[in-house]
Amino acid sequence: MYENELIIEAIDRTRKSGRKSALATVVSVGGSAYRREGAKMLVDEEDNMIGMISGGCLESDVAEVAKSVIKSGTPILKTYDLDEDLVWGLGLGCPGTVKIYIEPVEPEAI
Amino acid sequence: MLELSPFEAWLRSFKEEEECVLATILPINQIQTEKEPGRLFISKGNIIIGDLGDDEINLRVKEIALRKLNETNPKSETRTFTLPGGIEIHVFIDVYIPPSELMIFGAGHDAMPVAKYAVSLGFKTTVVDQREFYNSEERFPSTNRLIAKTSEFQEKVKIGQRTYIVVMNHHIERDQETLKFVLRSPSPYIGVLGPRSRRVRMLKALEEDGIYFEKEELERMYSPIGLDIGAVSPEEIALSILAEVVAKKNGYTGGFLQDSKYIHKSPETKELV
Repeated sequence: MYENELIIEAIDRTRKSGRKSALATVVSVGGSAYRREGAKMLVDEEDNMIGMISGGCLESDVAEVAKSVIKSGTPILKTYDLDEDLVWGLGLGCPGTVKIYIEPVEPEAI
Repeated sequence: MLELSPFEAWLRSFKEEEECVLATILPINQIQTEKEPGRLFISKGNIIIGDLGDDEINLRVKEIALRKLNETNPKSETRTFTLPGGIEIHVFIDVYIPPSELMIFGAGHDAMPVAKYAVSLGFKTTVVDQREFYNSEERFPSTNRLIAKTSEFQEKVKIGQRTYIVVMNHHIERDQETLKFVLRSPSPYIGVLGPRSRRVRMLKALEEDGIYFEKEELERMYSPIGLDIGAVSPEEIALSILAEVVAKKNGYTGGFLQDSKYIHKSPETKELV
């Protein structure tokens, strides 16, 4: 809830400043992922990141994808299939399948 | 509002704190061919903007959205629909519900951690107390403060369906007067500080004044207040109270997660290992 407000404020600020950005939203979750459907993160073209879409496992990868989305202007859906054994092996604490929709957010037209 | 795009209408709803849904067709094959996704915005006030590309699907998504907006604790989710040509589309239905409110009656010392935790949890927090000296910005930063006597509640205090209430006046008559008002409100949760015997005494005194409450009204009254964590200090008590409020808000009953099979399933579907 509180988080929603932070994201919206960030979208607003980023659009007004003329910076391009991409909004990542968790749209589907299977297994015991940390964040649920609707969790959001905003990444702008200067790599500022606001919000959380996992417990810290996916953020940096999603930020990379966000860069390409900002460049292409085309939304994509990214699926992370985090096999439990594999993930625990890597020492990451985010098992489960997570789908993340990443869409470009254009600056406000002046 | 109608000339806005669905995305912009959605942003606007956050600012106006209006319940709404933004439905988006997801690009299943990684890359979407069109830059603008099919989108439909539906507000609780029945403003509808956008198009998912098929009238029947627009209608069904609108129905789902309005149903969710009337639930106490709706969840965002992805749904699958089949277009007339047999093609499946996945639509993410994102529900926005404005922040809940926590209203504290009584600006005593032990209300301070309650207000502080409520603010940090994202509740719009209001402290109601007639004593200006106690009910101050210094003591209750980032809250709304209402300086009101119990006799002024009717005109000054607004309680909605998402206003969670904590009554902690440390003053039995004032608590009683507060109960008279809040138990008639649409609030889903009314927690009252103090032991069970105090609750019984207050309700009895109110009955003697000819004030009776319905079973449904009393079912929302939680007294003693809080989850059973053995809280002693004001901070621990505040934690116990807020834990109960959050559980209630999310439709859960509290308790330990140990040995429960799922973390996120609702209590009805939660199984033990």
